[in-house]
Amino acid sequence: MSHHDADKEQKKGSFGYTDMQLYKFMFKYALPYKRELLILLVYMVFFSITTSIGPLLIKLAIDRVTDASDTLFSNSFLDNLSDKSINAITSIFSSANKVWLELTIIALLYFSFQLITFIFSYKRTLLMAEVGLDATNDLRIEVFSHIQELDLSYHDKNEVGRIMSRVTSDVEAIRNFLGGQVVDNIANLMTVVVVLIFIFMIDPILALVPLLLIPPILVVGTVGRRYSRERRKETRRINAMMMANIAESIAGIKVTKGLNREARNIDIFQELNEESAKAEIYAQDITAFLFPILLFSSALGSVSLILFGGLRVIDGAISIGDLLAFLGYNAILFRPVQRLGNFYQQLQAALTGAERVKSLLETPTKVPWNEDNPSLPPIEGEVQFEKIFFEYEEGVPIYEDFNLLVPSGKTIAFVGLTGAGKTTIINILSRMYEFQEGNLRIDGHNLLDYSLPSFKNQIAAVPQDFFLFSKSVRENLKMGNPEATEEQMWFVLEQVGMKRFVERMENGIDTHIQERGSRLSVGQRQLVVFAAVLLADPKILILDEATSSIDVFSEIKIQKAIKLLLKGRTSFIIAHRLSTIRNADNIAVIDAGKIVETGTHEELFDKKGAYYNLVKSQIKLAEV
Amino acid sequence: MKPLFKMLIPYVKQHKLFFFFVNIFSIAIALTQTLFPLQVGKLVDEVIELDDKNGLYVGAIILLGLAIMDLTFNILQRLSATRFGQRIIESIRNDLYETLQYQEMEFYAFESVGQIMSRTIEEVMSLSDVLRWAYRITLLLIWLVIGAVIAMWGVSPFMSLIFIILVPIILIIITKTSKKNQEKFYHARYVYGVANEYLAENLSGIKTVKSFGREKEQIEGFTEKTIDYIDATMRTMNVRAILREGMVFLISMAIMGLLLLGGGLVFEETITVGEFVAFMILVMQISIPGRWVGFVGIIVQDANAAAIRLNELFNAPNPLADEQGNVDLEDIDGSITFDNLSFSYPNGTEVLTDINIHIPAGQKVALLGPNGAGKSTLINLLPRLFDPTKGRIMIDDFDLRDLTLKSIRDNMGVVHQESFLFSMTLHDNIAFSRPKATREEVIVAAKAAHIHDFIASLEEEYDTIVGERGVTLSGGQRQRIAIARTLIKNPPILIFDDSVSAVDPETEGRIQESLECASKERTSIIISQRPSSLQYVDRIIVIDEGKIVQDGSDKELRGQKGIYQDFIDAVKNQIKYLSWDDSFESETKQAD
Ligand SMILES: Nc1ncnc2c1ncn2[C@@H]1O[C@H](COP(=O)(O)OP(=O)(O)OP(=O)(O)O)[C@@H](O)[C@H]1O
Ligand SMILES: Nc1ncnc2c1ncn2[C@@H]1O[C@H](COP(=O)(O)OP(=O)(O)OP(=O)(O)O)[C@@H](O)[C@H]1O
Ligand SMILES: [Mg+2]
Ligand SMILES: [Mg+2]
Repeated sequence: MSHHDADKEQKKGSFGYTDMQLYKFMFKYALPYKRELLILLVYMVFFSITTSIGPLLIKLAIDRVTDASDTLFSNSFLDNLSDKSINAITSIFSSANKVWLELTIIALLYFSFQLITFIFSYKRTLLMAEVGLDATNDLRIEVFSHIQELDLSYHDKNEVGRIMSRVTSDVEAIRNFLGGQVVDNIANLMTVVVVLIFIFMIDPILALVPLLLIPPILVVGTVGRRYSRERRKETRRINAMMMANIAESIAGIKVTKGLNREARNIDIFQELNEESAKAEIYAQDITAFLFPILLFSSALGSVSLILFGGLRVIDGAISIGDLLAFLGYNAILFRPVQRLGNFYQQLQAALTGAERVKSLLETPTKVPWNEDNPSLPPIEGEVQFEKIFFEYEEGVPIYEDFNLLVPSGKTIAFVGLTGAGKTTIINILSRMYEFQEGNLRIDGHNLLDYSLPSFKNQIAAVPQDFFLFSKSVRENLKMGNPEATEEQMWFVLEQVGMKRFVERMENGIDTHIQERGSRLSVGQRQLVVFAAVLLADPKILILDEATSSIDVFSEIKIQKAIKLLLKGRTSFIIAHRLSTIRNADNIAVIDAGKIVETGTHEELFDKKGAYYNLVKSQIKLAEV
Repeated sequence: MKPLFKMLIPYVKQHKLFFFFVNIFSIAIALTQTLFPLQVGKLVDEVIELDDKNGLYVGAIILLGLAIMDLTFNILQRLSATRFGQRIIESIRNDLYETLQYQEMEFYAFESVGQIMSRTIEEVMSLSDVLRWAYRITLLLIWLVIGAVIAMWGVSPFMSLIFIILVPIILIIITKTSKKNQEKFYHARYVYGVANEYLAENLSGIKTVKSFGREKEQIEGFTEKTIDYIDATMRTMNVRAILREGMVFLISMAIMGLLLLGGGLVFEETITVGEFVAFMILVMQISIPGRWVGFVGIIVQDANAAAIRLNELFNAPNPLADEQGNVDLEDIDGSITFDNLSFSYPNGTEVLTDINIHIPAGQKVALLGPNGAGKSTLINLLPRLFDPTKGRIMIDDFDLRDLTLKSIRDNMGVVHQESFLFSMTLHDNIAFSRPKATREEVIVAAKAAHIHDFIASLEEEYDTIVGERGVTLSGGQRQRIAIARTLIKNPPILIFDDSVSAVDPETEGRIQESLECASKERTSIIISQRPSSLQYVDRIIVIDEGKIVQDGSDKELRGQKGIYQDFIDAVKNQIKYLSWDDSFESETKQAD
């Protein structure tokens, strides 16, 4: 099954993408920035040329001071130019020495080249960072949007921290690559090419020495990569588990405190942390070998140059200045090679990140948004479940053949023992999970033929485990209706009896209510959610235990609001407090995946069946 | 850069051995890298200039030997640097996690999951860059400069002094830019945390987002946050680019200056060509780490910002931390006294005012009151999740503040109003407070909470893993697991906060029976919006707007004008409404 990548994360390296696919995936996000990339290329060409000129100038200087050549540039045009200017200067400073003057000219030339290099590389770095940031931001938002589309069966299986690791660390790894390393290395590779051209011009035979060293380096790199990839992956996997652990520990801190569980939690975390340290060390050890080997190759280059170059100097084939220039070029040539070690590390991290992000993006939502399908027209609200077969886990069906028709504008209530499957019906209707068989019809339309957002616009639900955001009361009310006016908000607050309380909070309706709304009492939270749903104007309304924590007085008060709310809508109500649902047009008693009774309160009451028994227990409980 | 060093020093001490190795191998590397150019210089002067081919072969072999030594030391240095960095990171994370675990609720009112996560993951990572990389580079650079100064001293003291000039230039640039950059880095990190916060919230609340069909708005919101993040990061990029490339520029300039100067000196015949070559290679070797100095500066400044953010976690005050002389609460009777107690949340108005209650050991008390009256607040004070702002709470004859936190909580079992389960097996969830509990003990608790039958019906029974927060269970199932989790503790004081709100009347009745049984001979406090709990309590305390308005037995309070009577009437009304048939009422009476 491709759905649960938590399972996949348990196994190493089973995402199953080729590197080519991953590169394509990453570069796809850089592609929209073609113009910037082109500018970058121009910067890089200039960068490589200017960097390559340095050692050449050293050669000129040394050749001059060691009398290896008579003229400065061995090029008639440039020599003419320099001679003229030197003559002009010596005529002013007659005491000045010609060689020192020439050195000064070289210094000035070098300075200007370096200045240009600086400007180019500064611009390059900035532009690169910008492209990296912008490109990965597109990716990040795409991932976030995809997460919004994924149905709840995905979210059930993947903890908050685990998903977060994909959107944060994994995307960041791609950013480091796109926004730095990759361009850096292209620039360096260009420099390699330019340098190779230069040294071939100086002495084609000696130029073979560094050239011969390059293939073995590439081999070392490829071998290293093979191992480092697996190990890198392992670090990312543990990182995700660690993030999940931290997120959950914080969310459940109150329980932990109350049950004195800190020490054990710390033990668990430390184990995970130890595993993480080991995996990191294991992964980095590869670069600990790779990098020095690359450095060594550079030293090997120098040694060979001194040996063969020295022999050629002794033979008189080249000058000492040439040899020095070679040594200088050797350093430049191997600079990118040395950085390859670093690059590999980042590349592996990026590929691993790409793999994890790509697999998340390719995890299909089981409840497709079908945005290309036609929009559902404004509905009346008739809901029909037709032979619905539903299971959360394969092989454990909750409903095997569920049938129910709710006429538009009517209110249906579900009652039943806990765990009977009431919420599940709601989950199916509000498209949180996909049902496996059967049809769900709205006004006779098969829901699957229409775009999901067009349906969602017309339905609103207070889920049993509702959630408030750590924003202001106002923002939370806007969940119900983003366009609600100030007056409407106060009106609904009044209706649920929260007006006075909200007014008295430190910042009124703009008071920040902390994570999960913990600034409010549980009952107050439920009232706020209730107010939010009052603001929504859906055709189909769902209230799943929306008043479970509300006190009797408030409940009586909001019954009026509920009555108003239900008018003209198809409504689904679930409540254990049976007085809440007494007025429903139809009551369905659910038991073990079946509707065992339906009818109005009176009808069911007379029947003396399951419903009657529930009422009886409630009355018994209320004997005070 | 003080916060960074202050934070790291204790950890470095803790991992002395790796630290030692990193340093030793750095010196060894610097040594071979200094000897290498000297050997080359000697070769040029004494071999190439004199056309001595045999000498050249010997010299090349020596060079090769030096290169191999360099390779070995380099590998060893990196291996130790990796361990040094990673082990410190591990220690810091452990300490951080421990700090977080022992922080009290007050702290969490102001810290969000998202921010904490970006601190423990990203911020700590940036410290690892400093330890693994920046420290190594800096060290190498220092030793190389020292090596170069010493090596060149014999050749030309003047030239050797030139190296020293590099040092202040580098230092001035890094420290001068530090403060302003710091703020930018800090801000970027903070904004990143904010985006993380948004993400974490969205994921936790995904069901609500979907219920209201607000996915599009969430995407817009997230986009906004990430754009803030891009802006803030871009602002640091300018700093990064200038520092990094500027440093390369400066180093290149300095190097070329040195080389030309050396060339001039060769011309003046102050030094030989070979000495110049040695000098040149030395300079180029220094330039390898030297080019990275700007980057080191960035990393250190960024890490410093990270250290400040980490310190905010480490140094957050914990007002409830045990003080010396706190005693353990042992073998208690279980009487509870709220003595003239008032309480305000850190940011709000007073929630509880002048509460005076004495609950004798073994008494069962129902707390009654409308939403937001302060019931949960009151019972949160008992396990000392918060301290009262005025007055005190006593268990037996001990003020809570004189007791160790752990022993207080060991003696209490609280079922909170919201049932939070962890994504582990059902067994582990129930045995959360006693990880060593046997399966039999777990089953006993599960039976008492009337959840055993359900668990037994599952394919993997007690080894079924539940989703985060228990999402794969129904509301009532979750609540009953939470009850079982508390009952297994078997504490002298039991507290139930609206713990049957999500179960059907039939199950509620059965749970009430078990609770009644469990609370026998225990001090218990029961909060409920349902009347069922009133049937077996000895005493009822009514709270309204943070004050005690009624206190007494059912008999005493009944008939008295007040919330209690109103509550009874309201419940009766609701029931009447359900059973409009009189015969029904009489029938249920008989059925008892
Ligand atoms: N996300 C899920 N994944 C797997 N199983 C689930 C999931 N949600 C619920 N279940 C199981 O499906 C069954 C029906 O649960 P449901 O939430 O529909 O019950 P309910 O009637 O709403 O109960 P309650 O009154 O306690 O809320 C239960 O046995 C529950 O454990
Ligand atoms: N963390 C907090 N910071 C500030 N004020 C808070 C905080 N938690 C609760 N309050 C306020 O304190 C008051 C009492 O809240 P509490 O949760 O104790 O109520 P309650 O009696 O348990 O209500 P309910 O029946 O709804 O659970 C409420 O007005 C609430 O808004
Ligand atoms: Mg339910
Ligand atoms: Mg409460």
